[in-house]
Amino acid sequence: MAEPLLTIDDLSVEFATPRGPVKALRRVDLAVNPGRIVGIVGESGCGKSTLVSTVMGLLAGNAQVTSGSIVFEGRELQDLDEEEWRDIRGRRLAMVFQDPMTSLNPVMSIATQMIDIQHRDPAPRADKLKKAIAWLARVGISDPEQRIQDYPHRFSGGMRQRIAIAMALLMNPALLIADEPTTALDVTLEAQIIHLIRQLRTEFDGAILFVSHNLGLIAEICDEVVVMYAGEVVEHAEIRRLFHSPSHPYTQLLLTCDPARIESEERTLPTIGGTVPDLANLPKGCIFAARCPSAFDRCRVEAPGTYPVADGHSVRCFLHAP
Amino acid sequence: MTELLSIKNLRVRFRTVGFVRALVDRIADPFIDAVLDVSLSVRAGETLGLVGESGSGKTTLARAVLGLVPVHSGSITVEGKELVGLKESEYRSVRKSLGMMFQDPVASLSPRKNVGGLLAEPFHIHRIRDVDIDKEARRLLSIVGLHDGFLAAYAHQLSGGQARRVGVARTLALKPKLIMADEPAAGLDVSVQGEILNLMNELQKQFGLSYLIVTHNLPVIRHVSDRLAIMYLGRLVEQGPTRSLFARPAHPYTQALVAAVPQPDPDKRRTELELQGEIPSLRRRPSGCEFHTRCLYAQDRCRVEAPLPTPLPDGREVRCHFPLI
Repeated sequence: MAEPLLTIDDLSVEFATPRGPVKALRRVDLAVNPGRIVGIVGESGCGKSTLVSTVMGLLAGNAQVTSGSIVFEGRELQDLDEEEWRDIRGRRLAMVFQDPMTSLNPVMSIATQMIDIQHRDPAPRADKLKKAIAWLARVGISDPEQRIQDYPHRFSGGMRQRIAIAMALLMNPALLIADEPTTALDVTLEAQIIHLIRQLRTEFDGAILFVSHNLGLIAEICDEVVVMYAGEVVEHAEIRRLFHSPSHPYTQLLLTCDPARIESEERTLPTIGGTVPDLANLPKGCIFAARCPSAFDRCRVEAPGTYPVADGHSVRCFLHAP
Repeated sequence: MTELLSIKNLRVRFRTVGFVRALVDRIADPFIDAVLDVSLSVRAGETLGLVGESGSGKTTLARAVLGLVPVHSGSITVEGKELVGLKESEYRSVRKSLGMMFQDPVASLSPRKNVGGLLAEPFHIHRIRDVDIDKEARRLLSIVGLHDGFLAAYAHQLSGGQARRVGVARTLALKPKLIMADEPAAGLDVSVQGEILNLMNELQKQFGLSYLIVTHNLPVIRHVSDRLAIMYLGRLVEQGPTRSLFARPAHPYTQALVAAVPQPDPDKRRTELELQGEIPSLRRRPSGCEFHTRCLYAQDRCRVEAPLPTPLPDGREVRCHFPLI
């Protein structure tokens, strides 16, 4: 197998708060190989956004990486200075954010914004504009020659997200990070954006890290999935295995709770009892033990390691300990 | 079952440009119709799901029932009493029997009041003095499964699910018969949304409540509603029993909405895109059937002649010249 594009190893991140350090990410391992779409799924507070911000070098001022490494295209990202970051961000590593209403600059035309992104490219401005227009056409904006002169408020939410995708792919990045790219959109527009990402994938040869809380979207687009809970990766599997033979109790419950997976019409919907633990005051043992229906004594005193279940499928759970 | 809420030919319009500008720019019709020719009913003890995309008019419809937006024409009756044309002072007493659950659970609670104060508010607003408000607040909290300790908590100290429970408790304070819930599960995690929907379901059985649930979440509404009404550009395009709408949609728009929901099964990936384009502007409603610009099955007749609501044998009503069943 080729060298992974992105390798995250034993990554831990803490936020300093008045209540003490909040351990938002703990011992996270993740590898993204070229050309793959890797999904990150989890509920609020599971650390998926913190993980993405860490990779992009956009962590808040009170956050600190306490352990681990992030290697992207052979370079340790934590060693980069601001100048080197500017070289990578937007060019090798691009991102599409959740809210298309706020990710574009409202006081600059789309043309200006799309030309600005290419500031490292020595080509003449006319060529840059041409390239930008070609990308708008590829993401399905009609009349791109005229519309590129418009300001973001002239576009609908779905169109803005298309433009954000075009901007992210303009420099042909090696890795695209999409953080809940369709959450702000209606379901028919969501389907269109997912369709677009899948089409573009055949044209652009990079990898995608796709963050979502929506299991349907993950199933629709990803090759492999990482499930996160309260700051830890609890399961990692190839897409079919995750949906057909989930191994971590949390993954199993998460799948059971999704109303889209319940065939019969049920008035009473399944839930996961209890609440997510306080990350400033972590429980001893397994992070999920308090809510886990299969927890036994060992789970409450000792934290499980990550154990392989099958090729490319690993679980952080004592049920699968050798 | 008796009809609790009945809406007939409702039309809600909003002015988009001022009188002078309309005159200067020669805009013949400075209005848009956010809700147009809508007729529906909610029976006692029933849950009606009102489904549509952003801008389809579903929230405006709920707000019109509460008297929060002016009605242009049509009728809204609750237990036989006509609401359209009521004075604000008369509407106030009507609102006691109409509960509203707003979309954002945290933002809909005042940050300056603790939960006890929030639960007392409905009684103060309606000048109800003959109840022990403190006792009522405790009773309401216990109904929604929160302990008394929450009385002193402020909105920002609550989780999304807890804030939603407080919202439900507040809605129940004045013992309404009909509750309008705007996206009750939005913003909640999948493991928590079930708790709120199950609670709403239990309360319905316990108090005989009726719900009008405004949502775009089809997987959820499928499990919690008896009937569905699908809105497009302010009109109802299809309404009928939830089960039959999901099993065999009659309107091409309903079919497209159902097909657009991603299936949490990697073996059921979609390759074809059901619905192209976006919702047209309310300022430029398409001719004929307003869905024809995006409809896969549109024919010449659809472009010129607007279809009327037509009853189907299974109790549904569909606004389409060529229904799919």
